[in-house]
This record gives sequence, structure tokens and C-alpha cells, in this order.
Amino acid sequence: MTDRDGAASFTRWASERQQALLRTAVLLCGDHHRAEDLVQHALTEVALRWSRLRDEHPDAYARQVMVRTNISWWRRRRREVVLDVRDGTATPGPGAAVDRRLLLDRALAQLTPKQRATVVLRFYDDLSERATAEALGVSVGTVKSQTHVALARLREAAPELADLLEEPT
Amino acid sequence: MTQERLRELLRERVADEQMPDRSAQAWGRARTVRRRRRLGAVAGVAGVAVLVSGGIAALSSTPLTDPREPGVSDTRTTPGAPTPTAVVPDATYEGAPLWWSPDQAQERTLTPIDSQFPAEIDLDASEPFVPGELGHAIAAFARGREVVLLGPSGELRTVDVSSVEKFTKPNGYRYFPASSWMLTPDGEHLVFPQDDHDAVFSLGTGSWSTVPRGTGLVKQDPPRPPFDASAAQQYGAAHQGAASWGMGVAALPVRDSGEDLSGPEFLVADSADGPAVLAFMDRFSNGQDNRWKDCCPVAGRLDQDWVVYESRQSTPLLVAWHVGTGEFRLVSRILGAYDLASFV
Repeated sequence: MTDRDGAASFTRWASERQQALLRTAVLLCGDHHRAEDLVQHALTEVALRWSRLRDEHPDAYARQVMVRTNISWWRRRRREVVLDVRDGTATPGPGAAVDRRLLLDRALAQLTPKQRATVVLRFYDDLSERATAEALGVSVGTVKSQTHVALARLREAAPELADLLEEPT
Repeated sequence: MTQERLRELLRERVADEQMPDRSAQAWGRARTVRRRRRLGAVAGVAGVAVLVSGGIAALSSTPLTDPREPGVSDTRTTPGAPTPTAVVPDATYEGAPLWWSPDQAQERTLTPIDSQFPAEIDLDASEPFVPGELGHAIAAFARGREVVLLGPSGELRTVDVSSVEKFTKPNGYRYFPASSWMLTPDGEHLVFPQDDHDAVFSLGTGSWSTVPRGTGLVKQDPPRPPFDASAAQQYGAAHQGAASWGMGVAALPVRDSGEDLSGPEFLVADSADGPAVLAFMDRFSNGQDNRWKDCCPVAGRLDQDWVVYESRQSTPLLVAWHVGTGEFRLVSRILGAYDLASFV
């Protein structure tokens, strides 16, 4: 593979996939600008290994880089992070999409980055428990327990959201 | 909340998110990194045993203690037992002897060592705390609004600490006040600073009490690094003359200078021969092996010779370093997610 071939195939893949990666990244970290940084970092890491990854699973690798980098960032900054920035705002009423977004953002912010990543990978990216475990670098058992804890915490953190999302009877 | 509804909501949340195309930029950056690595590798070969500016001298490339394949050996060593030691440091920095840690992959396959810690600490197997059952703990692991206590016999008990309020810093930031010091040195209490007092949980009685603000936490003084580390930040708890520092001493000599190494964090431990420095090495491996920031807080000592550090990685480890030598041993594997740990 020449450098030019590599560049062409990489940019083709990256152009196609980066919006999807961005959406995963936004859900992982909750911030658009940080999500862009995560995507850019992941794309660079994939590009560095493109000769090997192009015929394997570049999406999975990019997702793995984003998940682990985000957790690493969080660990670096957790003592300085404002955990409750939205306290004091009026509770949005159910019904409108924007209200649901706020409720969801607030609920996701209550999760640890690993729990959050578990929810995102399992329920947004629809990964299997095994694939989620590989992305996070943990056991399948941990994914199961983290999923259970995360869903319980989401319900607890945003009862309005839980009510909103109950199956209609 | 049904899982299908959750899926719909997540999709709705990010449906409008977009960013400019960064694919060409990423390829260009990767090309620059590759070029820099090639140059670094060449410089590394040419630079053996050459004095480097800034007072750094690479003295030797002492191989690490034999990392073994997982499961190859179940031979445990005992602290205090005489062991062959490599007392020649891997390098010196401003005259101070400096050793290089194993990288994360090597840490996982180190020979085990006997200690007060179980070989495996499975936090997910913890049972609910029952007052009176556990008089003291040797470690505490914060996970969300719970703390898992590790008892002296390896038992694990989970305490609900959801009654603890977030702590407000002078700049207004609020955070849950679990810390590397939350377990008191006697292992009998958990302490959480609150805005106007310290909340104290007694393991003996299972009850909460309060003490005046700032009087509950006990912190030991870290050792003094044997070089100027004023720009570095000490993190984690100090234990018996040992502590770890984060970035800030960018010039520490590192092994394999051509590899993609993160700026080394380091540990300083006092010994009979003076302070010894351990620089935390890493080998970038498919994006899975890079050290985390604040990767390796000190977790205590097995005896005066062996310091234990917590290697934070996907499966965290407790690793013992024979201070002032190139010897390392595996103390424990920690299974299950947690936010931070505190050791007596």
C-alpha cells in the first residue's frame, strides 16, 4: 500500500464514519467541543495504524480510543469538574424534545464515565456485551453489572425521564 | 424506562450533531507522528551513553525483572526475604538514582508476592456492610456513592455513603469528596470533608458522626524529591516516606526513547540510601497501553524495602517495587470499576 493509497482509503473511511463517531462521542462526554477533540484523536490513532486496521475493524478501534481517552480525561480532571452545573435551573416539563434532552443530559451526567460508556455502547451503538467489554477493557460480567447499576442510576437521577419513557399502557 | 425507549432518546439527543470533515487533518497528523518516531528512534540509537543536555545521563539499560507470561509461575516471594538486587540505577537525573518501572503489560505478568492484600480483589463480589462485622479495613474503594471496604482477611463490604453531600471548593466547584485519604490510618473510619464539618463513618459501629471541618482527614507529608520538582504535582496519599508526582518534570530520562512514551510520572521513596526515584514507563500498544494521568498513586509499604503502588489501568493492579532496585512484584489484581482507592 503506497502512502497515497493509504491516504485515499483512510480519508474515504474517515469521511464516511466521523459523523457517527461524533454522535457517540457527544453521548460519551456530553460536550460537543470535547467530542470533536475525541473524534479527531481517534481518527489520528486509526490513521497511525491504517495499514493494519483498514482490513480489520477501524470503527471498533476508533470507538475504543474514544471511550478510553474520555475515561482518562475524566480521571485527570475529576477533582476539578463541576458535577452539578445545571442545579438551580427550573425542572423542564415533559413533552418537548428539548426538555427530554435536558433531562437526559442531566441523568447521564450522574453516571461515572464507565457506566456512561456502557449505556452508550450498549443502547446507542447497539454493541453486544462482549464488544462493549472489549471497547472498555473490562470483563463481560463487569459490563452486565455496570449496565444494571447505570440504568438504576438513570431512573433514580431522572424520575421525570423514567416516567416519560415508560411504555404506554 | 424501557431499553427501547432509551435507545430512541439517545438517538434523538445526537441526531443533529455534526462536525467539519477532519479526515485529511488526521492523516496529516499521523504522518507527522510517524516521522517524529522515526527520527526519535535514530536519535535513540545514536545517543546511548551520551550525556544529554539538562544534566541527564543515561547510564545503562538494565533489563526489567523478568516479566512472565500469565499463569507461568505461582511462586510467590516474601517481603524481607533476601533477593538478588540490581542496585545500579537505570539512569540518573540531577545526580539522583532513577529506576524504570515495567510497562503496564509487563506489570500484569510479574511474579506474585505475599502481602496483606489478596491476590485478587473483586469489588463486584462485595457484600453489604453489617455494623460490627468489620472493625477495620486495609483499603477502601469509592464507586459512585458507595465505598467498598477491604477487610484484613480479604472480606469485601459495601457501605452506602449517599448521605454525604458534595463538597464546595472556594471557586464554587462541587464534587463528591471521596479521596485517597478517606480511610484513616487505623482503618477504623471513613472521613469526608463537608462544607461546614467533616463527616465520619465508624466501621466499628456503622454510625455517622461529625467533627470540626478539616480535623478528620489525616495526611502524611510526602518525601522531598531529590531534584527540583516544583512544577510537578503530587497526587494520591503519601505513605511512610513515599509518594507519586504527576507531569512537571518533563526531562526525566526514559527507556526506549524512540517509542511513543507519555511524559513520565514518578514516585519518590525514602530508603536507607536516600531517596530513590521510580519513573513510570509505558509502551504504546494499539492504543490500549498508555498510562493514565495520575496513573500510579502510592498504596503503602509491605515493609521498609517494598513500596506498593496502584497501577491504574483497565484492570488495575497493586504492584510492589523493591526500592532502589529493578525488582517488581505483583501484589493484587483489582476487578470491578471504582473511582479511587484509599489505603491505610
